Amino acid sequence: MLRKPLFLLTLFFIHSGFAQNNNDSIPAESFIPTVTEFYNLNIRLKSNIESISIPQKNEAKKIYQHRKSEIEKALKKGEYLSIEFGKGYIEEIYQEILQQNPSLTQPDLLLIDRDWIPNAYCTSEGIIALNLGLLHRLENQSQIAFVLAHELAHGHLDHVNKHTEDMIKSFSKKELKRGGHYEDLSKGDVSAIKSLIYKTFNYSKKSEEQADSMALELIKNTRFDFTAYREVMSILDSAKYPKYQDLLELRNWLFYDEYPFKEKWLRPVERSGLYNENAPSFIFSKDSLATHPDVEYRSKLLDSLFSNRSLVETNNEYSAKSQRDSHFQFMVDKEIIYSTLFNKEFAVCLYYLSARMKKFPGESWHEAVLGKLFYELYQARKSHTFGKQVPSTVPAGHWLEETVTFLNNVRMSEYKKLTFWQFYSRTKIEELDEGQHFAFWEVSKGINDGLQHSLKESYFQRFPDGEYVDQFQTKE
Amino acid sequence: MKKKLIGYLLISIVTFYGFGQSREFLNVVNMRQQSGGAIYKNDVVSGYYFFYSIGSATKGKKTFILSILDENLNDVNTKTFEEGKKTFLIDGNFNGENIVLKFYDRKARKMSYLYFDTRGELLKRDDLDFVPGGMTVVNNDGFVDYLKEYYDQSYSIRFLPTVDSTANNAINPWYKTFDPPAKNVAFADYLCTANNLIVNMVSIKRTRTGTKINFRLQGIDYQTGEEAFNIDLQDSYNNQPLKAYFNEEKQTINLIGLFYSPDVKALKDNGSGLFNYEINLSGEILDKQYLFWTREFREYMEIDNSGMAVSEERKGFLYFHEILRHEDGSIIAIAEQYRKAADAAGIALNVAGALLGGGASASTTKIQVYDMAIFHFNSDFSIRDVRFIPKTKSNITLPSGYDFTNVHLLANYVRAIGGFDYLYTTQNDQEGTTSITYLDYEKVEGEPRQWAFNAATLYDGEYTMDKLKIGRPSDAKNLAILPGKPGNVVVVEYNKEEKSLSIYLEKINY
Repeated sequence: MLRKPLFLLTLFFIHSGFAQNNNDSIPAESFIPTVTEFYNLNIRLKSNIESISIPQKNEAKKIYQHRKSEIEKALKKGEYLSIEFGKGYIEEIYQEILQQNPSLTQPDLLLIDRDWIPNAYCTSEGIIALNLGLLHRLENQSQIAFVLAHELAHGHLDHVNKHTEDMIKSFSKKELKRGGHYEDLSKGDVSAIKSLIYKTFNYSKKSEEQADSMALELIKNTRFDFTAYREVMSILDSAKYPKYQDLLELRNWLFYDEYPFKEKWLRPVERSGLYNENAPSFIFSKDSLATHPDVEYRSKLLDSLFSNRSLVETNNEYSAKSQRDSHFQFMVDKEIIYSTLFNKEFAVCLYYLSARMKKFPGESWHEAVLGKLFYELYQARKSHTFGKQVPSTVPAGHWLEETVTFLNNVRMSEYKKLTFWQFYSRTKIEELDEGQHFAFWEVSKGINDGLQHSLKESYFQRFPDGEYVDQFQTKE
Repeated sequence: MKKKLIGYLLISIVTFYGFGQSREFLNVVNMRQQSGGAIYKNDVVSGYYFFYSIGSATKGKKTFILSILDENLNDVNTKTFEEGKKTFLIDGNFNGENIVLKFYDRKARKMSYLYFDTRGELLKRDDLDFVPGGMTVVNNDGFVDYLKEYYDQSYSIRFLPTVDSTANNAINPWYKTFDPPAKNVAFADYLCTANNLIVNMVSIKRTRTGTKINFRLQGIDYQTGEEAFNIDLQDSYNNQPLKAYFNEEKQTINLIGLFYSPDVKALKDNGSGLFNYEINLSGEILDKQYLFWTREFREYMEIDNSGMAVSEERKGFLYFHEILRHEDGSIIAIAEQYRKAADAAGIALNVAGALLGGGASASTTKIQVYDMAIFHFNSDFSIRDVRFIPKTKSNITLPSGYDFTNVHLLANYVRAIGGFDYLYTTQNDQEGTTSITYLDYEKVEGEPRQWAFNAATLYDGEYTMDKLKIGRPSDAKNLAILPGKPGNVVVVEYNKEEKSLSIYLEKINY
């Protein structure tokens, strides 16, 4: 039993954590970890270490410690949203699965990862996360339920730790000698290295099969449509393409009377000529590094679990797209733009923003976000971190090709001007948030010093205790 | 579903594009980077090679992994070889058709040329006796390797023609040796390619370490190996060629360098100025231009009557690193100032040594390297601009016995040990920029001294400065900067705390 002051303190943190995250506004606030979350991570670490079943305890311990520390960093950096996002849309799916499957091992935390890549994952630290990128593609609660059930299955079957420990054990000197690999490896036999590494990925594929089939059983106990796995597989199969596939036509809308679009911004970069479409990933073949069986195989495997085809029914209530599903998707589509900006995935942010601006023209928040995006790109160039955040090229025909070409061709001084003109001609100052207002002020220097002065005054009026108050002095 | 946290193993492997690093993984496999570098196509970075040894040697042989990346750091191909355990990859070039990598087996004293196509597939291999040399690209037709054994009076040139997918040569390979006049030593350096001619600067000296050099210009038809011309460059002045380029519109070779008064026996000062010769493809000198420090340059620099800078801070010599053409046809010459100075530490050591009964054991002279100097000429070689870029002075301690050595030889020594701050010049033809890069150990108010990578970029007639702080060895994060594709550098960032390495291309801002 906690002592009273500490108990109250803990309750305060828990309450304030939930209170801050229980909202329907975009951009959503990051999940704020409390003492409880860090406490749970420590408990899980302790449990993971105590249950190490292989002789290589120190090596396994190091990996678990490293993973825990990576998760703590990600939590502190604000890389997750609470599942309160969307007014409990995800939460109710989760509760339904748990309630109908009471023997299922529960994770400590279910979160939404801001990552735009369609994915979801389970960690041995008691966390299950669904990427915003996956929620952006899934269309209804049944589809989300299948994904969630799959991850819960991984957690229940303790796949992560089992895989880790098996990997460590099989790469131990003793096991390598027993398996007859040691001599080949010590001589640097590349085939032997590859074969061992591929084996670990095959093991991973078997775990995926188990999680898929268990997920199906879990969903059958709920009100959700258990055939939704087919749609999920189809969505995963098309995951390498964006949801909205359309040419950006940047030159048609990214222009200002005072600062017209420059054709050189879309000029393709000359290539040296070195190129191999079948290039390996270092010594490894890329196909052999896939951690999941291919989608067609997974679908067939799941289909085969139905011995009687008449059992394959659709439950209309949860397979059709409801208004609530549409509303959640709408929120995700907006949030993913903010999250890609937050994560500094600038090329993807510009792509999603452009696609959305084309689909829903005239929404003022788009224009303000675009101004902020240009400002972040300007800062990235100034601080020489641009190359970490924007790829220098993508393969020809890739959906990001036009975006990446554009971003790489714009010079630092041009980003400053784009930021200024975007804010100046497309936004209203009173609609800008704090960060956007400050960005507008900073780039005005040297372009319109009079305006810069009035922007500073208006900032202090609008945000007298704002977080950028001190920075005005530093940057002047 | 795919795990967010990448497998521990893969992290070890894919972040291995470090430099001079070794790593053990899978508890048993030792992997060490032997060498790495940029692959150049006509002086432009077009890719990278990394060469690793893996595992332990067996019967004198070892397994090596060769990894080829494109200019955007994407994998092109990886090949595995079994070679002598003292094998190094020493040079890499790309001519648009073939990548040729030169390997050296130090124990067997053998060198191998390996030809790859643009997908990194091996086409052909030639194994030969080792001779030191440097390779360069000749259009799309092949490569030339300039070879010189230390004790040889003569120099040799090997032409390696492009190999097609069936390992056939379109042009015959050849190997020629060129002898100097009797009792002389000759060296050759590549200057440029002019249609089917490779143009070389030939230096002829009485002895290997002599300072009196007779320079000649040689043109060789690379399709046949026959010499097209071999002309003496000495006339009313002693000329020291630095660079040449081929003017395609006029079909002439422009040769630029320093010239000295004829009575100067050793090249011990800045000379009288810069010269520009226009030469046709038969070796005839069509035009000669001389720009004197005390005359033409005086309008742009404060020079006294002896050709030395007037101000104390500008007094010294110029070491020319590079001369090249800007996209508008103008010419840029990049130099760095240096001078000899008394080394107080060296003097103190020698005095102390003398007092204790010993002889002199330290050089009492040092070389000070300081500001960059950029000379900008119009296409007709008239001066457009001269500017100096200030940077922190650095002191190069000289080994004992170097006090009385000729100052230009000292400059060569400084260059050989990496004492100059100049790094390289990169040009982006698409953007029309020329970026001159150099290091500076700078002091900024409120911060400790640290290294910074600097770039002065000429664009649209104006220079813009850009800087990337590299940090100090003791910092938690260290950066290394490598040449990148036009307009870019490659940043290698090592985080000591996280033990992580990231490598990415970064733009030079202008």
